[in-house]
Amino acid sequence: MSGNRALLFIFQTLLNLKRPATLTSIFQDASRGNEAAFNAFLKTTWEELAPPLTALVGPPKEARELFLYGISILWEQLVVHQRMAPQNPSAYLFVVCKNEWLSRKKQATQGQLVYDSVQFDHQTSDLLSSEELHSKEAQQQEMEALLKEGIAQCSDKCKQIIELHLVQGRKLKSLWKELGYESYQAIVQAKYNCKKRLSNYIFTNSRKRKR
Amino acid sequence: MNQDSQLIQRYYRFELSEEELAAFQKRLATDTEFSTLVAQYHQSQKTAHDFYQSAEDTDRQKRWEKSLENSPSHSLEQPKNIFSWQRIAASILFLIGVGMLPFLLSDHETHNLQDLLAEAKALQPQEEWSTLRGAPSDNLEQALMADAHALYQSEDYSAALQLLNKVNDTSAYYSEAILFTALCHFHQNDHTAFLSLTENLDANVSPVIEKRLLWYRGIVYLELGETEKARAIFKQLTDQDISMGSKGHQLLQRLKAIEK
Repeated sequence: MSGNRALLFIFQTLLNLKRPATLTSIFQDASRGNEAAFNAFLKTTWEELAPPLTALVGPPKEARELFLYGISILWEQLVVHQRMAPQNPSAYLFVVCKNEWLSRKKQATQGQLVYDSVQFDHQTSDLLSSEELHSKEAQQQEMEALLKEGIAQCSDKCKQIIELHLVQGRKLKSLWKELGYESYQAIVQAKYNCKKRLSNYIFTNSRKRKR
Repeated sequence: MNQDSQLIQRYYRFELSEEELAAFQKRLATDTEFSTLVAQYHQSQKTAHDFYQSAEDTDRQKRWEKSLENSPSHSLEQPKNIFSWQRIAASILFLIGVGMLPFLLSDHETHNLQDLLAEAKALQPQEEWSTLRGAPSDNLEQALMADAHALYQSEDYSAALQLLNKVNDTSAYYSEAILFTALCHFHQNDHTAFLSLTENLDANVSPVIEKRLLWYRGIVYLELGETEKARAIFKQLTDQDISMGSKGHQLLQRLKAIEK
């Protein structure tokens, strides 16, 4: 009897171990270049999220574009960095897409306000719109300046990836040996680590300047 | 790096638990300082993201886009078929109901029945979304319900239905989702869908919601001219000790007076 229980326990444990591995294996396979399972995941998730996203956004094309933005973030985190998948990836993805949509909507509304004010009151709005536009332009210029500074601060390896992969357009698969990486995955990781450091540099310094 | 910055980074890394994500969303909506910080982080991420887009990344995204174009959800982009079978069935039922009324009732009775219907609609309860009441204990489903509520309030019933359909029968909000799904059908005048949904409610729907839906069934039957069924429902509501009982009794009396 106790032997049967032990077998049952082992069986259940194996079963439980198997469950989370399914989702993890999708992302692991994709990181090794086998994207078949990921593509199936992409389609199922889209089928699940298309109705609420379309309901939220309106035009289905915009909903799909938003979804693809969310997927590119998910790809970077779960496939490239191999982070643990959340309990419910599609629900998480929905929130990410929704926040992105809200952020775009906010920016668009600001633009619209500028436009509307020009329509209604020419005299005051000229001043207002130019102020607003100036602030937007200034923000863009600040980001560009920080990007340049951030790139200048990059390590030599990061600069090599930027030059050969991003500027010259060479594929990472043809570069990893040449640049002395252990594997293709290693150079992909390196690329995204450089990106992360750049993003952190921009964030930290933009905050410092605003204080 | 402070705790908020770490929290934002964890959000972008898909590391937040469902509870943490719900709390994150709540703060984003209520805490201006936090939402500014998130916007700054987002802007930095986006600047780096755009810069790091390689030809390979663009190709991959094009492949994804193409594969989604072939998926069944692509049909969402086709224009809505206004002649769906539910609409046709509802229209036929409605036309039969309206067409039969003059034969079933005298002019005076028809007029009274319409008065009664207007009275019944005026008596209908103001439905509240309990998910939005009291101290919010946000989670993803509650966020979904809140979005559905906003769509319902703006009378975009089709879009609200799409969200409400996502609430599964084990959810704490299932009963409420059923109530508002039925109300969307009710407001769309889709009597067929309304009756089919409320006819055989499953055991997960709370008795309170079940009784509220019964009230609306009565109204729908009145609208369809099926006074027998409407009377049976208002009688049932009157016999039960619930808040709708007195209103049901009121309608029942009026119905009796019309039929005399």
